[in-house]
Amino acid sequence: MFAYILRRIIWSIPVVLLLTFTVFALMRAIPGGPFDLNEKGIPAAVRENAMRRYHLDWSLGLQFSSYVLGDDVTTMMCSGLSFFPGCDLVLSSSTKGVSLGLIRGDLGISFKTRRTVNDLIAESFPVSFQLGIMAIAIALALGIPAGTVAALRQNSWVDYTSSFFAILGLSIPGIVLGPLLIWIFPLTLGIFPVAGWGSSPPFFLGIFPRSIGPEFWSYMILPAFTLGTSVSAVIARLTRASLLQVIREDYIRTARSKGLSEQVVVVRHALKNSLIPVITVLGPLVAGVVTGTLVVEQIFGVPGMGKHFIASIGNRDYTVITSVTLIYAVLLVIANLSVDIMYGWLDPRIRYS
Amino acid sequence: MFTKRFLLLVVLVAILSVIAACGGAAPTPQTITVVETVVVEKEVIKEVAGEKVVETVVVEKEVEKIVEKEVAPADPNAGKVTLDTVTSSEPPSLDPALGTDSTSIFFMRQLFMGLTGFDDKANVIPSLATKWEVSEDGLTWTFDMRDDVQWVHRDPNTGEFAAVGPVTAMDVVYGVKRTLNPKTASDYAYALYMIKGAEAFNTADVAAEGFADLETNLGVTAPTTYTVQFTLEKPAAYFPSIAGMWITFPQPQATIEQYGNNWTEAGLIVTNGPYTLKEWQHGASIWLEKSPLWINAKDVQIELIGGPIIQEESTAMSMYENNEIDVMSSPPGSPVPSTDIDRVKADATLSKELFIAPQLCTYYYSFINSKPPFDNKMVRKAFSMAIDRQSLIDNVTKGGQLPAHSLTPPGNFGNMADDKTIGDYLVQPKYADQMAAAQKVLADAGYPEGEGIDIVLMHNTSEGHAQIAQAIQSMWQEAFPKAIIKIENQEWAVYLKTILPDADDAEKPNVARNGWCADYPDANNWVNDVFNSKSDSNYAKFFNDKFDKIVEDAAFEADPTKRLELYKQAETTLINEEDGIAPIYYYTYVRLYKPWITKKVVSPVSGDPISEWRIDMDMKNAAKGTK
Repeated sequence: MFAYILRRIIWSIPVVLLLTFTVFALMRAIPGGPFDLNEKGIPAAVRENAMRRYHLDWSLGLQFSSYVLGDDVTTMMCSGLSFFPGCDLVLSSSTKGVSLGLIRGDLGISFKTRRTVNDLIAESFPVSFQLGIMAIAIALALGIPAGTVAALRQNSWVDYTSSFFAILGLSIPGIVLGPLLIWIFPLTLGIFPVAGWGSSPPFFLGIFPRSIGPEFWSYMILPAFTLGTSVSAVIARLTRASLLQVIREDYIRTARSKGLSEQVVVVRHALKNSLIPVITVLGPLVAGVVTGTLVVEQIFGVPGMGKHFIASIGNRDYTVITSVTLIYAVLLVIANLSVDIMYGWLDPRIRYS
Repeated sequence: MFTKRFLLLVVLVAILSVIAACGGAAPTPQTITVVETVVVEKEVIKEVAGEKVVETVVVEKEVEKIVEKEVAPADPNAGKVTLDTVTSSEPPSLDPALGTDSTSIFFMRQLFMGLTGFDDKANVIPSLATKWEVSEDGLTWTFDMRDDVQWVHRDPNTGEFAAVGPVTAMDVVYGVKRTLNPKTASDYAYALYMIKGAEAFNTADVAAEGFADLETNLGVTAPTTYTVQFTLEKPAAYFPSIAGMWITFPQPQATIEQYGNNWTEAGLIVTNGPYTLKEWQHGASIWLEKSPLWINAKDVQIELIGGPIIQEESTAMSMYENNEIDVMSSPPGSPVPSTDIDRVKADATLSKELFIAPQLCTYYYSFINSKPPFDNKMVRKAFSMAIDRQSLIDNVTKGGQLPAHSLTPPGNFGNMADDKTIGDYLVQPKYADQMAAAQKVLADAGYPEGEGIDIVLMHNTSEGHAQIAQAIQSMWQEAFPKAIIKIENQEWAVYLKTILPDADDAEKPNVARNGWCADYPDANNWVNDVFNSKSDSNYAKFFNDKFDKIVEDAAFEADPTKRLELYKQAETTLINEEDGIAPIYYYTYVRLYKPWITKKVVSPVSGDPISEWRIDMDMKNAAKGTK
């Protein structure tokens, strides 16, 4: 098992790197650069100066090398291989040390804010993470029971009600539900604040809020619920469909005929097996939700990471978009790995060696 | 059983993530003794004129009560005069050398004071400089500065303010040099190119030989501790406006050199304006606190300004209606969502809080003058005339904008917005007549009913721009039924790349959406900075030698009356004679102010001086209490 996990992790490194490079290259392929964003035209020489400052005049491969390995390593490589095309620009560059490289944990400098991407992520990721985990908790707490009850009482009013809310949750997007909740709770009933967030840096262990008084929860509830309901709808529908299939299996009949109580049959034999598809979608879902959801974060003024995924593309903030995608990719790898490990737990027939 | 365990696990993980070693700052119930005044009503029997009358008398009694009450940790902001607001986007920078957007400029104007300032009519007024004069050749400007302004630092731990030294002429010189230094890479440095040696310095390669000399030879010096002298490349009568721009603000050299890029963080920054930066949680919130050491601190009533960063306009609008914030403008606050404007106007309370004022911006369409069919000035004129500006404003933009018939909007020195001889044919009282005239002009140009016209109108991707483009497309289509008019849109950075003056004409649309907002309130920033043939922002490719000469002469001219005359000629050439662009509307600020805000000095120049606002805190607290 341990060897399996290790092998998976090692294999994921080239995948993540390839993905990073794809984003890195695609972003640079879009017309317009980080210094072409002002309607008030700036002189070409000034733009070129700015490009040089961030090594945007280097060839793509060397820029990537600077991003991953750092300026010093790239310069070292170039002084050894000065015939390599583009190396003259590296050697003549007057701003070395823009990047220490991914391998040393430096994600670069944001062109837009001129702050380090590490700082941008350290202050926004924990917020998205806190919101995301809570949303997933709500989604599971609502989704699995709803789906189970619906499957056990198939075609009854319980099933229809549960399906109705599941469809409702799926089809009402956050952009509608969010403002609706704002209108109901803060504006009409006068409870919960409209927008904002109840924790701020420095975070405990870099990710958890330092205190969780009522203030923290009052900011958390509405966005977490908005985010959680749409996810819970997915989970409820999957649980129902999967449980309906499992419950007709022969081994369930066997379990029943053995005289096991209905509760044991459903929970231990049926539900456990039916959760495999749920776990499968849950992995990527968690990775997506904890890295921030633009719409919900924007509506509730949550200072999370979702905005960086979108804004940095418009701003041509190459380092930011590459780094947030990288984080998302790493989380996705971790989530999928956890899912695979959980399969073995849910279904003892699945074994990795 | 299994699911239960599983669920429990997930929920536990979730809760643990939040609970994990919390500081436990949750409010704890405490028993406190409160002295309360209890109103007791007593019935007293009185004898009035022989009759017994029962009267109720109110008696007040003081009672000591022990109550259990939740005592929240002491809020340091409690009791202070606070302007609660939101910021509609994280300011990219609070560094005067780097700021470009209205949010950054708003904050910089609260934090710093420059040599000159602007009043509510956008006139230049003394600020750090008490007076200034220009040499006879118009090339040397000397500013005398006041000597009592201090750099102020706020200790983030104790909240105490300390003066760290006087603001001197050297700070201004350092600021200008730093803005122009190519290593700083300021987007706005080009606005200082009239200073001697500025362009050469700003565009130099930092690694090139003689780079240091370029900095030394820059035309900005400090002859005495409190005198700044600028030597210009060419005369610029509007220079006092430039001296009020944020890029010429004094900058604290010691702090910047000590902390580098981070010097604008709360706790590190030193400022010389009415406010200091109290707290800046990036992406989350910003708070400014009144600087008690500022020269006019005794006249500043509002002690705190700030709130969360909220990008979503409708969320900010909800906060405003929930009395969580005091103002919807941009900035401070968020713009009023355009979808809410009709509702605001109809609402009994909100309509009283609505405030519409001119803003120094113009929305216009650039005809690409070098590309057929708009290389023909008659075609340009016909298309410009066929826009029903008033109807567009009433039905699409809805913000009370003013129909534009010239480039420079009201509020700038040298604007011709009130002079109806400029572009009068664009804003006729009856649009039907105007359209008929447009049809005739186009027919005379050889395109009867638009026959043979096939053009592309392009805008950057945005719902607002799309609505305007569709409205104008239909107006054109109605006026010229046989013309083929297509709308395209591109993402912002791609769009700017496409319409760049030196980009390939074949890739360009025929008409491009543009807008311009004043950097400094002078017509030079409009006719010269935008439509001079040498300008990098001349997207219309309006190249006209006569026009260039007029605007360059105007920049040179010291006599205000003659400058006005030259700007009139410039607008006449740009609009009446050539129709280089189609001006559409002059922008307005659409704002909401809670009734407890008074004396709002609204500056058409970005960055309202909050130090001159007043808040009636009793009224504000009362309103918040009822919610």
